Amino acid sequence: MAAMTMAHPEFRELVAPHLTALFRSAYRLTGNTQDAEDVVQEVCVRAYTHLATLRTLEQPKTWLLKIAYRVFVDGLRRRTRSPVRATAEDFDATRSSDEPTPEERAEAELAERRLLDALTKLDREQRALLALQVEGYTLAELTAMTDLSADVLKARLYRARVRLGKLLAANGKAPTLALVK
Amino acid sequence: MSCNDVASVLDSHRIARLGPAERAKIDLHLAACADCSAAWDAQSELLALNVPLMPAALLERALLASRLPQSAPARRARMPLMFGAVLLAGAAAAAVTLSVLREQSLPTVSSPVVEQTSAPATPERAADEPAARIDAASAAPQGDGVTSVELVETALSIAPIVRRPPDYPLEALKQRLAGNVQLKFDVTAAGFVENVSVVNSSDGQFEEPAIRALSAWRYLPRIVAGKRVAAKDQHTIIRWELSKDNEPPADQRQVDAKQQAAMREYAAFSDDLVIALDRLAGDDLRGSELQLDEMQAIYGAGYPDLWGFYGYLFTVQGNYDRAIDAYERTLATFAARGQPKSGPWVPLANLYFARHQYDAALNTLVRQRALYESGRINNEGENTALIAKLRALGLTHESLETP
Repeated sequence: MAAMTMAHPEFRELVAPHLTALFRSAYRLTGNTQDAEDVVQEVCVRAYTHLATLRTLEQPKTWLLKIAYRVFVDGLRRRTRSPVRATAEDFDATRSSDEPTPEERAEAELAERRLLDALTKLDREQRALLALQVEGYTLAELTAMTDLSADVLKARLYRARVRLGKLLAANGKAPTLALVK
Repeated sequence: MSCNDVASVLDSHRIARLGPAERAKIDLHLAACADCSAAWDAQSELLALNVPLMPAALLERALLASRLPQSAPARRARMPLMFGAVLLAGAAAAAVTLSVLREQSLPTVSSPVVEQTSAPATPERAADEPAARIDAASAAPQGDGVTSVELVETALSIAPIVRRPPDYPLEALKQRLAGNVQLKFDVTAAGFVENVSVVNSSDGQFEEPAIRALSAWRYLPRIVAGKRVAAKDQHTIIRWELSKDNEPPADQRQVDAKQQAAMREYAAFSDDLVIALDRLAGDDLRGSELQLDEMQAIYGAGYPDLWGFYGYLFTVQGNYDRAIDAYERTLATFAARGQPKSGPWVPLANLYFARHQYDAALNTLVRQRALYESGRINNEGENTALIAKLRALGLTHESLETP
């Protein structure tokens, strides 16, 4: 069944250059690597069925991110999994040689968890807008991804940030790991 | 400076490039405006979030997912792909993974030790399911040139070829708590883990990371009667342990750096193995083999898992002679590493038998028995069916006569 694999090298070529950007946004949407991959795969599944559209696009990345946005906001497949958390998903080949100590790592994880925990309390659209905005996309790109007008977008982004900031403040500073020493 | 101006700064990605004058104006506004202050803090924290690198095999998995038929069962089958993961080969390969993980877990507090109990031979493998069929016509010893299609069984039990260790639960880490979780699960015919459930655990907080980790493991399914088959009710135990002295003396730093390098290479190796596995799961045997060829070019010929995978793949292809070569290389690589705790003894003996090299089949069983009795490999179960068939041909060895 090699033919199955080789059927659409074109799809690979069209998608591969944008995969990192897609994964980064998906990670910000979901807060963990596995769910992010889930989103990316779903995007690829949907994009593949629109290969004809994909090959005509001037901005395939924006289009792919638009799908990612919809996938996330519409709610990906429900899964019995504990709430979003960010920890080292696997033992990570990418960690640099100045590896943080376990304590440092645990502390960074706590700070991340606090942020990701607060993000889960936003509604999905708010979270998605923040995720894509923080990834560096411009308002023009965001309007293309979300089909919102620039004014609505700006207002919602601001409200989302205010809400997130207040959630974070309510949670207090990231706790430190006094116990580990 | 108004709230609108602050929002515009935040929207336009200019935070890092603000001049001192503008920054001062903003600070003045933030001090007086709780909303803007909250928004500013939120943006700062969001920007500080560290996004991990994309898993190396994501592209392959995504492409595979996009090719799968979108019927409901297929979508379910797709799920395990998302858990990242690794492939499995015979029980042999698992031992390497295991020892690598255990070795590497020593210098850092946060790496759990993963242990795998041998999965019990699955109940459906009954004696009436012969590993290799033998019919009267082709039963002559040394029957070279006979090309009847025989069907080979790869292993008595299955084990993952590569595993990612679970997270250490943060609370447990703080309390320096060891733990273990016993799990039950099924392995699909494509090698994915399904239906994971906890049998028992030392502490509830270990359960979720255990389930997560196990869900990402991948297996090389057993081959029975020429087909890859699912395996139900497999068991494994995952343990978390902390090394006693987590502050190695300075002269160990070199060693740690080396271990970390080995760990990184091993993780990269695992990612690449996943690609080969995914292609195999998609029945792209040629693509899978090409991936292994590439890995051999990158990582060299020293990884037993690589040869174990080749052996498995050639078996699936029906190319038993090449499978035999690959499994012999697996064993040689194990021996060279001095850690032959396990090995593809069962598939190798069955392959020799299938190719009518009965002496070699017997010899393989004898080698396995000798290593087991000297305590150098684990017991992988009696290959009683094959022993009986060889005995029927008048071939036996005294070491195989005692249980």
